[in-house]
Amino acid sequence: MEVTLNQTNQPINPRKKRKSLGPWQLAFKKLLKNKTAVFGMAVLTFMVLVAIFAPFIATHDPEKSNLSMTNKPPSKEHYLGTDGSGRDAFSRLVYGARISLIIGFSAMVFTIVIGVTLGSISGYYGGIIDSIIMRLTDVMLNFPFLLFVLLIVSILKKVNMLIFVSVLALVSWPTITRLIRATFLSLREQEYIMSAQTLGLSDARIIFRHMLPNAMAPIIVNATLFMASMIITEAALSFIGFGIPQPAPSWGNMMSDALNVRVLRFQPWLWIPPGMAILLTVMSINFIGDGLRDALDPRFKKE
Amino acid sequence: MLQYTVRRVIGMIPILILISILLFSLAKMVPGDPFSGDPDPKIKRDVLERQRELWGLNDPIPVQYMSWASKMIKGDFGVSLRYKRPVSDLINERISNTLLLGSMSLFITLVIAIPFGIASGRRPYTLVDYSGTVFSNIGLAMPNFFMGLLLIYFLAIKLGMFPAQGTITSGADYTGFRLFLDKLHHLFLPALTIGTTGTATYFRYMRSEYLEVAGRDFIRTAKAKGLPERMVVYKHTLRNAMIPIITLLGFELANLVGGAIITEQIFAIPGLGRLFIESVGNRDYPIIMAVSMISAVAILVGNLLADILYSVVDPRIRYY
Amino acid sequence: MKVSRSILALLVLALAFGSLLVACNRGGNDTTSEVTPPAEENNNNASEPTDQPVDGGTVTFAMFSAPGGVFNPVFYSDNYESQVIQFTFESLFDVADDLTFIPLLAESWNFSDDYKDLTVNLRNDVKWQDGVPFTADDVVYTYSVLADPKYNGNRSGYADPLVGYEEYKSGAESTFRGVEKVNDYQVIFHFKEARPDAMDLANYPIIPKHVYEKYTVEEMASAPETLEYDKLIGTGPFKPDKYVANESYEMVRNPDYYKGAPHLDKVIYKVVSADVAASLLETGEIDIYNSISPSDLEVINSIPGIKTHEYAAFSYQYLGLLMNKRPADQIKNEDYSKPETWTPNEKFKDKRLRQALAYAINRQGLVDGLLEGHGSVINAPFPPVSWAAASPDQLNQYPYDPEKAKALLDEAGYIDKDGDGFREDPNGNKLEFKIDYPTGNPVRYASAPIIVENLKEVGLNVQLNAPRDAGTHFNGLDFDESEMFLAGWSLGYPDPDPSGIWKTTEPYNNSRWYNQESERLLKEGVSLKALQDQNYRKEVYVQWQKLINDELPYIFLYSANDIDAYNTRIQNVQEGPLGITRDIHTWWIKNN
Repeated sequence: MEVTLNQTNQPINPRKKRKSLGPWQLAFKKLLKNKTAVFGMAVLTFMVLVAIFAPFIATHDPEKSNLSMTNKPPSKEHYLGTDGSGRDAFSRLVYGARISLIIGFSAMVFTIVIGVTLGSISGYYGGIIDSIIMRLTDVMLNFPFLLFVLLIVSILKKVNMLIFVSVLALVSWPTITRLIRATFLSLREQEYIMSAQTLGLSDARIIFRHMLPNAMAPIIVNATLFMASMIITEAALSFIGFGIPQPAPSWGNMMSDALNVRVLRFQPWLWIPPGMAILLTVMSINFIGDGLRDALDPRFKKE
Repeated sequence: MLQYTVRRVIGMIPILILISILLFSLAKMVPGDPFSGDPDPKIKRDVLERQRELWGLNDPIPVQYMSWASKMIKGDFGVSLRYKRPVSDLINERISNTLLLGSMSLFITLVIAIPFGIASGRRPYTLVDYSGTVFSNIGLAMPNFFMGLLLIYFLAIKLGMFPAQGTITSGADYTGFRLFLDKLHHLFLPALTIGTTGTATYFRYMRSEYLEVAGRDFIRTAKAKGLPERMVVYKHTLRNAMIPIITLLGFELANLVGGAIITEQIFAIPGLGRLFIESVGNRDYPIIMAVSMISAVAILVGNLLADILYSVVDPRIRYY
Repeated sequence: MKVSRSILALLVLALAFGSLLVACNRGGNDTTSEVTPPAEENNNNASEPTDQPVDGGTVTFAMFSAPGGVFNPVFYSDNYESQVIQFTFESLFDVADDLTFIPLLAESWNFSDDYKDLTVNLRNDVKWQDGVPFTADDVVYTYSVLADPKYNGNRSGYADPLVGYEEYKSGAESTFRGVEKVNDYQVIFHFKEARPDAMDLANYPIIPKHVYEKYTVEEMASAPETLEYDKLIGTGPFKPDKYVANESYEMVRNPDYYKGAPHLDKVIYKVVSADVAASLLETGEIDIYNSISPSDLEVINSIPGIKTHEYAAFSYQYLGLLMNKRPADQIKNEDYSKPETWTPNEKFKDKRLRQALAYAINRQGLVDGLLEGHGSVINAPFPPVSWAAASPDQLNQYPYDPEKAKALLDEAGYIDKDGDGFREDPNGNKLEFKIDYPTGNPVRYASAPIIVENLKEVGLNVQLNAPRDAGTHFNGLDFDESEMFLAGWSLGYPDPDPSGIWKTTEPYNNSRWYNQESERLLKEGVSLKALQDQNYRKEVYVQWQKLINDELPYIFLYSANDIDAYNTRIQNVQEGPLGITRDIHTWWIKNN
């Protein structure tokens, strides 16, 4: 009789073939059991669907002004009323999902790519390379975003999503790099790394084939949580007028109307919905991130 | 470790120099100068030109930089181009507000997060725990300007419990302790706004710390020995809690200037953040440089503290 | 202990939810219960005639930005500083509601026949707030400081037109001849040439010689009496008393004020954020809120005990067009002096296109929608209350008429041949416009995309560049960088001469408008004949307004109204076209 051995050198009963689950599938199953994570995924999916189907859900053109209908309260025609230029707040809320989600996601991807590259190199090599990269992050952290944005806008005269995302990434990579680096610092001391080094494997191979997969868990978790923070950052910048310029709607620049006391006090329908939208989206992303963290490594120490 | 720390501190100097050069160039590259924005037709151009000469704005940029740097080393922050007063005066007027705001928010964070975190940890999955967790999730997800607006809307405008603006009640002539209390009253809402994220993070940390410590073997041993469980756990949790407090301090310090910008705007608090935004709009280079350098020192020191503590917390991490 | 902890947590939660519930209830009532008809709103601002003024009380003004910290009028540079010293320092003349000059520190005055000398007779009963008498020496001293070789403030323009300025400034002469003391209460201003703004120039706030003469002009800039608010000494009704930098500035009554001791004990300026000023009016934390934003009007009108006063502001917003471009080297050297070398901008060469822009933009809509009616469309850069303003029937009103705009564009040859929805130029080339606009003014900011919509509707391909901060934007105008731009000007008063902005070679001539007829008329408006005959002068200016209204180097947009709000417990507030602070020494508080 032929005996087939599985990975752990135990005989498989050829009659009873059970599909063994890889670590990712196991993690996913675990994730699905986490009720808050599932809730988060549902909400996020909802937001994404709203963003995708915005043209069908919105009732008006979000950028079209109407000077005879400024500052109107909610009505059958305008579910959330109109803003100071007569634009429909509900449609702006719906389309705003697009900008916030796209910017949040792309800024996150951009930053993670930079952060993983630099963080892994920094954490693995240590020494001078680490010092240089860390000092570079120190310098970048001191970069006044305001000055930089002013400069960019004055030179380019246009601020589109790509430019804005690049600027966000440029300012955010230091934090992520430090986090990834910390992970790699821990991993470096693991025995299998030392044995890989002894075996003479190239550094690149060690980093990419051996460390990175093990770092994937914290990277994914950090990436997810970071996307949430990018959404908040975009909103904050739009709030103070340094974000995506009008008339494009973003949840952040909708809220900047609330800096005016009349809006703050008497038109809560203009600023509370976008605020709640940000809150819900970020919260659901956080839930997913936490769920991933629990699922991927239950003993993973929180930062 | 000590060697590493010393090296880092010494290493800060070239970094600060590099940062100052970059910042200076960046500020100068933005079009305009203090005398060119929002013109007043009553003031003739040659008057403005003479002002530029007087303040050295027509000198080549490296010359301007050296003149600024040589004064900075001696501790002279220069004179504000817009206010015509020493920059150090302007900063002193506002730094106390920023510092008070920062300490208040740190205080609020600790006062709320530690007891509630422990309470949650002791009674996991009960009502107390769930409400705490819900609040902390909201706190983490809440953009801080939204929090500020909500606080003003509900607690200041609707309920009138706190003032919506400023740091003191003017015309009331309070002094000494009463003045201090008045300031605290005004800064409570902004401090709460700034502290929201920190409180939520710290709450979760305390809760997980407590849970982790409570499950450890030595606790069971101590219990078996007859020591009251609570005392043992508190002693150990609180001791562990001390370390990240310093990390939190490092983080707060690093964010001292930048983090409060929006909050200072919403609550009309004259702090360093607002000063910075104004001076960027006015192209007031001495103030821009001074505030940025202060912020830079704060960030560098804060990060150094955080790094040192990473290695204390996790002894496996070594710095070469 | 475990019980108490849970209870504590529950209590806190209950408290939080409870207050939220209460807040929601209050919130619900808020919009209804506060619309109590404000009783005193439409009444005359004067109190019942039988009331006698009583002494006492404090009035608090709101200001939206902290003053910089230089309070000496000779050195101050921002609006906020001028606000906190306006009741302390005075000048020779006051401005009446019809924009003519009336006496203040001066009793009477007259010009020489050639209009080069202005003799001013000063009051002899004025004392500085420290008791020292005010004399001609103080007037001479003030202007000497402005002309001083070491003076480095912004206001030398007040001394420049006077005789002997260059000589004194260079050090060639040791006394400034421009202002001559005849005796303790008479001075003569000697101007280099006759000019219409002579009285405006002679109207700078006067500083006390005996306080500042111990400093050189260079030292004065950083003296405590310049930088510390509570050390200021003026002649006005209120004297600075104490201050908290960046937060509040307090003045107390000057009992020896020559027009009569003020009734109020204190006047305070408090720095608040414009966004909550309305709620502070309600709580009584502030009594006066100047230049409220129109969106606060509804809130403020519903506050009992608060009255508003609305009047046309002396400023306007416009869409500027770059008519001519200077050669690159002139731009670099900031040389504005050679209009003959300028190149006309092909895009705006045709007057019909410019007029089409004016018809295409719904300016009244901007006033109705963005300003909520609190403003008016303007068609020429003159304040409507000015004696020199043209009447509406003398100017083209350019009512909102997209059809007319399209007709004009068709007539001028701008047709959409390739069917993309946008017109090409008469040569068939693609035509695109970019508008630059600044942040800072919320109404102007909001108007930009609306203007673009209007223009697109008549077939013009207009795009917005990203908004930039004010400093960058206005700096760019100096370098002819923007082909279309939003900006605003204040309307100077009292003297209406527009040369400061419209003279061809002026740097402030943002559109680089080069028009010979305009040059001629501007010159004529300040000729000796015009100075001697105001009717003739008005005729000249009406002609000029008609010209610019037809040529449209700017598309004039709108002029917002200023609205001041004040607490009706303050009696004797005079509402006028210049605001409400006239004769503040007559104000008194009526406590109900």
